Amino acid sequence: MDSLKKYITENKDRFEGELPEGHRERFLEKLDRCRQAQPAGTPAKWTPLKQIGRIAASIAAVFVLAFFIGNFFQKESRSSTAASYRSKLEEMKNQILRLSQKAAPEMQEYTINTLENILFEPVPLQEQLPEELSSREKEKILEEYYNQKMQGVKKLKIFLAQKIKGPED
Amino acid sequence: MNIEELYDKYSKSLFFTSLRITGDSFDAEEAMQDTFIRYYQHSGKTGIKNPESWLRSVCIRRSIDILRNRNRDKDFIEEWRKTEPDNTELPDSTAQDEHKELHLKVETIKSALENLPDGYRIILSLNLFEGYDYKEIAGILKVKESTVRTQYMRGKARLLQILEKPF
Repeated sequence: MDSLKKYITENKDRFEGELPEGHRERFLEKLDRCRQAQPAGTPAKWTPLKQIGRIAASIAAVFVLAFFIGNFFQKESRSSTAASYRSKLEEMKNQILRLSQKAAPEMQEYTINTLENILFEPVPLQEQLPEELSSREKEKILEEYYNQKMQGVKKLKIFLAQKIKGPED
Repeated sequence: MNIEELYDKYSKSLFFTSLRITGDSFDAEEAMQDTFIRYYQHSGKTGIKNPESWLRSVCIRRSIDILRNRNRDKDFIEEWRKTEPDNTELPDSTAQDEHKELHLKVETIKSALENLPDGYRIILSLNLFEGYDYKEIAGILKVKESTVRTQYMRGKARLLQILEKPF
């Protein structure tokens, strides 16, 4: 295996070909949409979609709180509970992404960004829970944590559906 | 360096890092570009001291997420979480290395890796191409280090079997 590793290290460039045609243009389009939604390093502007911003900000505040609480504790895996919640969130995310296909491009991009903000987990909470907590306490913390995410995702789905439906006559 | 310059400098390398994980050029492009978008969104708020390292790390995690979502198959991670390192003696590949000729050619190696199951391919790619050790790979995949070690040995054995065949 050493000879294989050595060969790969010495020939790494040859393992790379060409990038797909048009990739840079596609990236610049994504970047433009991102810049319109939120310039780098500046606070988000209030837009007609400010309700989504409020939802994302309140969810983010909960995550920050959970992160600081978690810093005092040892990690413990609660993979089955967390996996179950993540699975449900994944389903909801896919539903929303399918729904967003019917929306305007700006709304699609905003939906994707908001979903990312809600669902992003730099360090899974179950890995930060202290061993001293009982199983029941850990389950409760995880329930509250993931339920917050699910509430945020549900609100986003409702808002998106309303936007697609348009104003009532 | 602005975001466009960063993209021009690192996009190729990150694309192929992602391609080795996802096995799909569309997904690899998505992961790579999402990484740069995330960099753009974060760099103004928090100083990123080592952009290349940050980009690579985020791209790898994003690629694994995309692969997992695409396959809707958490088994390749969950299965590993349940896997205890078994005591079965694995082939001594060092001995194989010394006594059997490996047919090392870029296309052969690429093809051999592409034909490995996702789990083996990811671990071997992260080690052989990105230079991560078992502990680092375990952190990325959120599995035990012993599990990475076992899966690495099995993936390596399978890869070597393929590479030992003359083409």
